[in-house]
Amino acid sequence: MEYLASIVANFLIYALIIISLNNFIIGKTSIWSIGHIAFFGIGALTTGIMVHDFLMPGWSAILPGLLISFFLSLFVGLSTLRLSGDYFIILSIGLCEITRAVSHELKGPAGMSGIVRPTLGGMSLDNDWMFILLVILPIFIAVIVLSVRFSRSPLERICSLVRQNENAARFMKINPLYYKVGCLCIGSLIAALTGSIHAFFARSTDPSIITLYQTVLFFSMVLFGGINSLYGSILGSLMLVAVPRILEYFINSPMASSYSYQIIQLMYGFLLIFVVRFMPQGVMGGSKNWFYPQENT
Amino acid sequence: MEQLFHGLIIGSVISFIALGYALIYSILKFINFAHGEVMMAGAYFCYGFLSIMGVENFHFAVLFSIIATGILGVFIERVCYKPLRSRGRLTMLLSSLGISIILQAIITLIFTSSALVYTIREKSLHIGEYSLYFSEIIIIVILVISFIIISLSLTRSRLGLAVRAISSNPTRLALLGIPVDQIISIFFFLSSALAAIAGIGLAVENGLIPSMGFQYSIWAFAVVVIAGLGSLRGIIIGGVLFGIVINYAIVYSSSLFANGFAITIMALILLLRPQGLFPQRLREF
Repeated sequence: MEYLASIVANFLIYALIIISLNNFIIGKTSIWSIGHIAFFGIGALTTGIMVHDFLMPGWSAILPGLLISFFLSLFVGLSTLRLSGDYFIILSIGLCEITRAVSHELKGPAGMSGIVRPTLGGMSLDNDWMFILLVILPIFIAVIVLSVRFSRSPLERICSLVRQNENAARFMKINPLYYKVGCLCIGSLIAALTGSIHAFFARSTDPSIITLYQTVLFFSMVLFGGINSLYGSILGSLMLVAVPRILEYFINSPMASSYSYQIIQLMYGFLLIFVVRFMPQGVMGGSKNWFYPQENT
Repeated sequence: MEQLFHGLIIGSVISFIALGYALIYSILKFINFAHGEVMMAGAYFCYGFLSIMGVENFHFAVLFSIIATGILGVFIERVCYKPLRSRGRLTMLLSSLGISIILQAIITLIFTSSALVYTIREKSLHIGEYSLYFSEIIIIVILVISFIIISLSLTRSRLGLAVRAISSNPTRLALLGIPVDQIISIFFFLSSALAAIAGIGLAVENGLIPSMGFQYSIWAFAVVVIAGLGSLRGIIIGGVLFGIVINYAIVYSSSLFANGFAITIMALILLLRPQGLFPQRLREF
């Protein structure tokens, strides 16, 4: 049951990150935030340090991580999104690298352990299922509701205009920068929150997850599921959790299992190239005119 | 003094990688994320020629691996980028991300993830108490020669004119009978060959490891941004200076500090002077 609980929690956490990436950042503004995993890492690391070293009580330890990621995404967005070109992607990679380096420097390559789970109104959350049911699931549902509301709101039309034709948006007295940075901040906040929750759930942090490859896996899942599609995000995270388990089940020899990471990496790489080339709408049918940004029209 | 020379080598390697990025960027306007991994593959090709195929002469192995890496680059371009060219540069960028993780996985599956070194016995040059490897001098000489050839061909020849025309409007160029596909393939061959030279130079200095591509590609990014996308002169000057500074930063503090330092410079340049320190000036024909 413990194993099952960790799989379910993994799935929910992956789903939260992919929704924050797909339905709040890429889907709305077509900013390919390649260092997105950095915000997850910042959330986890800050929460861990706050609980472990500064002895902050319970849930309030989440706040500093949220604040740091908010200001970082504000800085990265405001400094690079006003430029045309790929500067955002470059700085985003830099952010990812710095986060990993800082995390290594502060808490070592193994991360930290022994983060105490807070209680919920006096109720102990030491049972994994209780934690999933009372903390992760409500956040998951709240984020889904937020995403659905966002997709149906007038704000989405503005974002769509900004995405497809910035000059037209400017003509309508809409400043594209505000909407891009706004979406980026919301997405980063959700990722940081997910990181904090994960640190509480796993009682530890893992800096080895903060790599570019993790984001490439997320990108391939976003494209596979379909950009801006909620079902697509959930399907993608389901695959991200299920495929390694299935592979583990089929591959029994120790030789192959020591390379299972590379095999998975290979599969996702081919999947990414295949999806980009042959089915840009993804499985769940995302937006159609995605790969025709304004520079080509 | 020895550290200065080491920094010079690292800087030349970084400017080789940055030159590869800039070549592709100048013609297709996208960041080729697979470039660092192509560099890594070039270094491993050389290892393969030396240790597995048993090529005796190191210089032949280098030559073979440069050609093999160039062909790999052209293959990647033909299979993964060419069909996407009409769909915007974002798709090519995503595709290159896929290629980069595929290349890394394949190399790790073949050569394992442990560090390797070339088994070469090389003549070294003694200047006072310092000894320099012959290949270290060759790297710098090749850098200077290839920089002169590339910058001349980009600014003074019809090829350079064609490149600039392609980057602004590929469809019309094809109408005018200019072989767009061939020119783009030539560029991929060139940039991959440069990457192979960089990778081999790096492997001679520091040994081989599958994650080597990533670290140096980050620094090469930083150099490209600092110099200004598309400025060859800036990339060479910036790359060499950057390598020397980074090397001193690594020696006197830690590689973490060096990384943070590089990225902070890059962020500051992006904030204050987004066109780079050496903005591109086009010469009128």
